[in-house]
Amino acid sequence: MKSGRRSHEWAPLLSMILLFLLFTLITPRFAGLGNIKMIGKQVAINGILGVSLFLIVLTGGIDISIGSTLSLLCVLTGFLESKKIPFAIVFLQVLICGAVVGYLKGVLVTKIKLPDLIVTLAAKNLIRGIALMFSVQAYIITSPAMLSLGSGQLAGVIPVPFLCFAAVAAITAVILGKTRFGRRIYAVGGNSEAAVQAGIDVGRTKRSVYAFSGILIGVAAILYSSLYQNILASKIGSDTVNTLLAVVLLGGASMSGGRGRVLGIVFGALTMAVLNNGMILARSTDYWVTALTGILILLSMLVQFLQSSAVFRKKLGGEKDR
Amino acid sequence: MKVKIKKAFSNYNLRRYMILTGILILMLIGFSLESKVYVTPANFTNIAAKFAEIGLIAASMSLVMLTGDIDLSVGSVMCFCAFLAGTLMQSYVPVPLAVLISLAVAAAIGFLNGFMIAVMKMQPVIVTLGTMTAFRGLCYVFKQGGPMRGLPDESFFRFGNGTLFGVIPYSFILVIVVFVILSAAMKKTRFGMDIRAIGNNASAAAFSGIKVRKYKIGLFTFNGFISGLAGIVILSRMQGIEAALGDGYEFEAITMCLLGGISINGGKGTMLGSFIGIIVIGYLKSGMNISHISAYYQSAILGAIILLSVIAGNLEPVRKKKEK
Repeated sequence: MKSGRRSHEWAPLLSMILLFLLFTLITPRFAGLGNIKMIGKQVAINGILGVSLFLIVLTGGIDISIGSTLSLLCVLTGFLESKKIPFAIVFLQVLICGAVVGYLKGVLVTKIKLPDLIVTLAAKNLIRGIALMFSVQAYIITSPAMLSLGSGQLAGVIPVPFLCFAAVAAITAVILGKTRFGRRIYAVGGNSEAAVQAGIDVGRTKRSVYAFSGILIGVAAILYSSLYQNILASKIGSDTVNTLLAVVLLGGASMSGGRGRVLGIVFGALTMAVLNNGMILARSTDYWVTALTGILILLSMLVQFLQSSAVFRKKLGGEKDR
Repeated sequence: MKVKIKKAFSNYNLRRYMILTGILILMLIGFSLESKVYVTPANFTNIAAKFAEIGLIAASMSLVMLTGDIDLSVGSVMCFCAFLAGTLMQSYVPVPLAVLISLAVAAAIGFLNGFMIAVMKMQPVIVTLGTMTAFRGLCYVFKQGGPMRGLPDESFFRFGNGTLFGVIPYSFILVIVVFVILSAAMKKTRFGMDIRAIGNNASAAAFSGIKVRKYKIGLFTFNGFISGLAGIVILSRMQGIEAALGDGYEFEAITMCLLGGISINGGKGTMLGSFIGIIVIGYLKSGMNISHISAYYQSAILGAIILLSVIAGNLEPVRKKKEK
């Protein structure tokens, strides 16, 4: 069981450090405190969304509608903010709405037994359509609570969004590692038939995971609104799925489920943030970022394939020795 | 007579055709109240030209989906090949050679997809999302994100904009030809039976001696090739290409196939069904444009159609059991 859970956090950590050194050599400005703070801010949203996709991938599923859900929840945040509703209530409402959207996806996947790809492909378009209907003009966030969330710093150094990301990652790691719910998630993803045999309600676990992932998207939406202030549904999250997939794969999660750890996802998200920031600083363009993201996805799948076939061969060899 | 209709209705495919034709007729009546041009031949020409590229993709996507796989990279590959062909033509490579080179590259991309999926056993969704992202990114590299306009050989544009008898665009004739060939292959040859067998139960198919890997690699290669062909058609029709073009084509092609009765789990559905799916979606989108329904609602409606057609397909086996 334990070896099954082991993943390779060192790979994204190493690639992050290498990228960091490379960009520092190209542009000395890159390693300045200001830019590092910037990366800390930029990593927050994709990091939290990465964790939310990671949870679904852990159960052996996929969600390509995360970007659309983010835009819907951002529009909701903007709408509630424009009605001058206190921050705490806005926060709660967005999280609840996120959970409901996630749960509905889960119901379609588990109760009506539709393939998750099709559910989320349809949801992607449906949700974006709804988000666009409600954001005819852009919402501008002006409330001081939101603004201080986006631009605040702890001890004048660590940006608050980064702290939120760290908190989300830590809480998720504890849930996955220490609770029965977390063990169930690994069991469902690792071998869903065995999970059924062990008396786990697979459908319920999956629905809860979709709802939990929706809550995390809600957190990301609040952060997005407070960081960028200008909310226009058509601009938000249109190519998020590629970046998130790269984050999850770089983080060492297996796409067939049951394997991977939150720490890996954190490093994966940091790697992508460093790459994005460094490319823009070094070349002042981002034409290559999309292509590189795709190439990274394919490369990390290749690495996983080589690893798994190496493990496979080792096992075969071990049996022969006996 | 009544019995005959009832009997036809109990057939999965025939029922799909009848329901879709009914919907099409209702749409034709409904939208023609909105605008008089809707049912004219001119509008047909317009729709047929506009949906020729997606139609081509839907044809080969049907085969991929019949084996139970999916390919999300088609839109990106299409755009990439259009850029490649355009760049070659702009550097005065003869048109046929440029077309051949980019079709070969498209087939190679499809082969790459197929190899990773069939031999390395990676999930189709993730692999093709990866190639989709990579080649979309490369589209942006060609002209630093800008569009490509103007090719030296103007005669190349004739194919994409010409029509037969002033009604049927050449590109749509290409779609019909591809559909007829594939439909015949599905019905009359070993190839079609093998594909259905793989879609119904891949491991059983493998045990009965069908070369599942070869078929899968072949189908993905063919899908890449057809996407490249769609790229050539769109380059010729639009007399240029933009880096964001083809984004969402995979989604529309999949919608057409699912609506036409191709099962998402593979094995079920026909080429004729997909073809009717193209016509219905084409007329639906044209009707929505004519009645000024905004693009936002349109994408939401397409999303709902995907869900409904998959749910309808999923309900089939339940109904059959009840009949027994």
